[in-house]
Amino acid sequence: MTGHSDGKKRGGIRETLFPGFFSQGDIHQRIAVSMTLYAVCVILLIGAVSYACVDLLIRKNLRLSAESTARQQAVKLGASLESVQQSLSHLASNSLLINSIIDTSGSRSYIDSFVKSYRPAGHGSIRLTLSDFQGNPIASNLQTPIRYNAPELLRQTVERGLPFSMVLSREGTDNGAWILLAYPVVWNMTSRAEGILVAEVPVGEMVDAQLFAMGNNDTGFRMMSGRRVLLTRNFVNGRGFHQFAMPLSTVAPMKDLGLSMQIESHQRISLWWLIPAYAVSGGILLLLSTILARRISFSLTSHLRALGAIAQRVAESGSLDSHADVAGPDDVRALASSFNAMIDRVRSSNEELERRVEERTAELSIANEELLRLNLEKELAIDGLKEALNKISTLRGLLPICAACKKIRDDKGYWKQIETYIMEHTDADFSHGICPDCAEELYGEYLEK
Amino acid sequence: MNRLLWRSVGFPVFLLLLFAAGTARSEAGKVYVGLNAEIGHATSTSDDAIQLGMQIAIEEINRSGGVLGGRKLKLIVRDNRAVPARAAAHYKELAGTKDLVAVFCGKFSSAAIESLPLIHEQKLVLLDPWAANDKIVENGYSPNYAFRLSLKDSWAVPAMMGYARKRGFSKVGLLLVNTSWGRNNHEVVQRYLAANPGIVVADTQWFNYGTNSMTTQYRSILKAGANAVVFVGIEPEGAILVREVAALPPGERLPIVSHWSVAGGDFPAMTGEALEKVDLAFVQTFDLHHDHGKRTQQLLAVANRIFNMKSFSEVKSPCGLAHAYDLTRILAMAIEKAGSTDRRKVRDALERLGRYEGLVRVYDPPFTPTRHEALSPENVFMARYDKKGLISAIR
Repeated sequence: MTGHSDGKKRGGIRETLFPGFFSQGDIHQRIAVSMTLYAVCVILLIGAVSYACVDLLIRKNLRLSAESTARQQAVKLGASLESVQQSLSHLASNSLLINSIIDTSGSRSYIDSFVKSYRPAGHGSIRLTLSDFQGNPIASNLQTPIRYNAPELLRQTVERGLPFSMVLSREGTDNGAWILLAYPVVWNMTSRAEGILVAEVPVGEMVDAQLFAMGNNDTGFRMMSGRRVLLTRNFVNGRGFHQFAMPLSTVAPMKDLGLSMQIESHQRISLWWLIPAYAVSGGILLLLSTILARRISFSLTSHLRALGAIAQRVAESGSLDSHADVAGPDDVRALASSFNAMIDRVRSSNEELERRVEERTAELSIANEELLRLNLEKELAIDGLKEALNKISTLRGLLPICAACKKIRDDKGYWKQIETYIMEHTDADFSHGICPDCAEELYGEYLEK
Repeated sequence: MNRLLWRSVGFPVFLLLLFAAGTARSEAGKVYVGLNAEIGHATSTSDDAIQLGMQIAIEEINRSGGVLGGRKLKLIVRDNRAVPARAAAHYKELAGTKDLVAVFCGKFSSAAIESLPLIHEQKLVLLDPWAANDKIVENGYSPNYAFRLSLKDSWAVPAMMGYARKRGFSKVGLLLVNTSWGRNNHEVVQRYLAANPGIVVADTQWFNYGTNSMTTQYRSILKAGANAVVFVGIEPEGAILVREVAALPPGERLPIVSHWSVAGGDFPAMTGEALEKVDLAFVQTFDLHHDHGKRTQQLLAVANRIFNMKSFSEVKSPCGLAHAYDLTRILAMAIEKAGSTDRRKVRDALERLGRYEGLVRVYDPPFTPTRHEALSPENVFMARYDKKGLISAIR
């Protein structure tokens, strides 16, 4: 019941969508149209799936690309910061620095020029100051040297002999973020920090230089120290943009700042070009599929149509001489074979019927002729009877017959042969033959035994 | 009950209060002398020698009744680790110490020169038993609070250059520490060369404190054709130089004529066998290791009593001991003459002292208003280390 109702329902939908299509028209056209429709569906499906795949792949590619860029930038920036650190650490162990700390009064002739001319590779804007153990500047590349006497800085560098780092607030400046790095200047003769080398590193400048070097304008950048935002470059924090957080691999003291960077890829996928491409390719595919569908439908239905034509011809002519070609697909071949078998069967039946009709007709004709003959005979008999009746009156009475020759004497007295007399007085004819007995008697000696 | 309470609690408390009061009065009556030196310097023994000389002198003074009618002298030591900034901080702190009459400096001239403005601002008497930079005393301040009983560069350079000339080294190479002390010596050398055309400087090289090698500088001097090296530096760099020269083939080992600060440490221990391979002579002012005079024996007795010292050969920087001892004794005389711990009066008294027969020499007088140098060029001589590692004057 369900299948039936579903069939009705499907039929209803089909009829609603394509009224008359499934019940009217040529089958090959319907096959072609159906195939075309299927092709359209397949094309749309493939188009949708491929669009989704392309979209996915492009997004994935963009993500991978952005992630790679972020990782690359993180490595480069980390390396830059590390380079600065190493440079400063190396500088802090330069004997000229400890020499100038011990030779405070006489050092100005060389340490000022040394500090002012010191340029870590690629980071020329570093503010460098050599301070004594109390943070008082000994030499600096600043116009107005700064006193670095923050208790924590002095405690870490001078008392503990460890490097120190902190984020500086430089609000309102173009470079955005500055990091202070302080290294103890240790004299091997005292094994203690006798001074401090303090560097203010313009991280913003370094980042800008790196972003410029990478030539990537579609990338937002944000640098963090823990949760504190140090620097933002074109970072909109917008939805839909890929963002990657990368820790900046550095060693102490910068490691203590928990530096990390975030890269925001502003690259958006633009697949509008796929629409006309799909439209053109889809149209071509549709055209090809239509042609192919027609060819296939013709190919599929040619044998059916031939079979149909034969059936029609058979139907119209009633001739059962034609046979369908057993060719094409197996189903059609089976159908053609069945059709031929049916034709043969019908023809055989017809022939049998005809034969039987003919037989019956012949029998009927014979019977009819017999009847006619009988009827004629009857009529003749009737007429003979009538004539006999008439002649009976003639032949009535005594007929004088020769006892020897059997001649009869007519009423005129002439003797006539009996046959002549009967033929004259009846409608009977006589054929002449010899009866076996007579033949034996007469021609016995000539007869073969 | 009351008597029992007094015996058990009250009397001990009373004694304790009496002791505390006595101690407080005793501390308050002391006269302080500061030592602001490179105590924390790893290889320096000059500060030890200075401290030892001061302590021996203070012990003698205190045992003979102290100063100012029985007030004991007490030494306050501050470690500046040869860093001028630390030295300045200590000078500032010591200047605020009540009854502190003077502060001795250590070996490093920079640590003293840097604080000269502060010293004069605080009216702090600076007594120099070692640092040789001329500018410590010739500082331009008036009144001048700096007094020296030691070698100074203006005497050391002629001694070194004269020794070189006597040895026939007509071309010397200068190897100088890159400090105000080194530059002061360079200036003195230039003056000496102008006055003594018989010797020339083939090359001048500089090095920094904390350097690991002086091969480059030495090679440059050698290449310049020098037949001796005049070295101005302290014991760590001097030891590096000696070790590096000793490692060279004998034909490339130039004689080294050094300022006296190589003796500011245990140089024989720092150089080991290399010292025997190098011809090293250096400036000295007093041959304590070979002085067996009565005064020296008295000092040794005190040192033996205080520090269980059997011989002054244990003192690696004997000049520091001798200078500090004499300077402390002179300071005590000045305090007595001043009659007060007022540093201005003590300073003035230092300039007006009479004759004093010290360990190093007879000071007649030690200082005058125009002469704040207690020693003279006559006290300067060249010395070398003998095989026992003792400093011996070159006769």
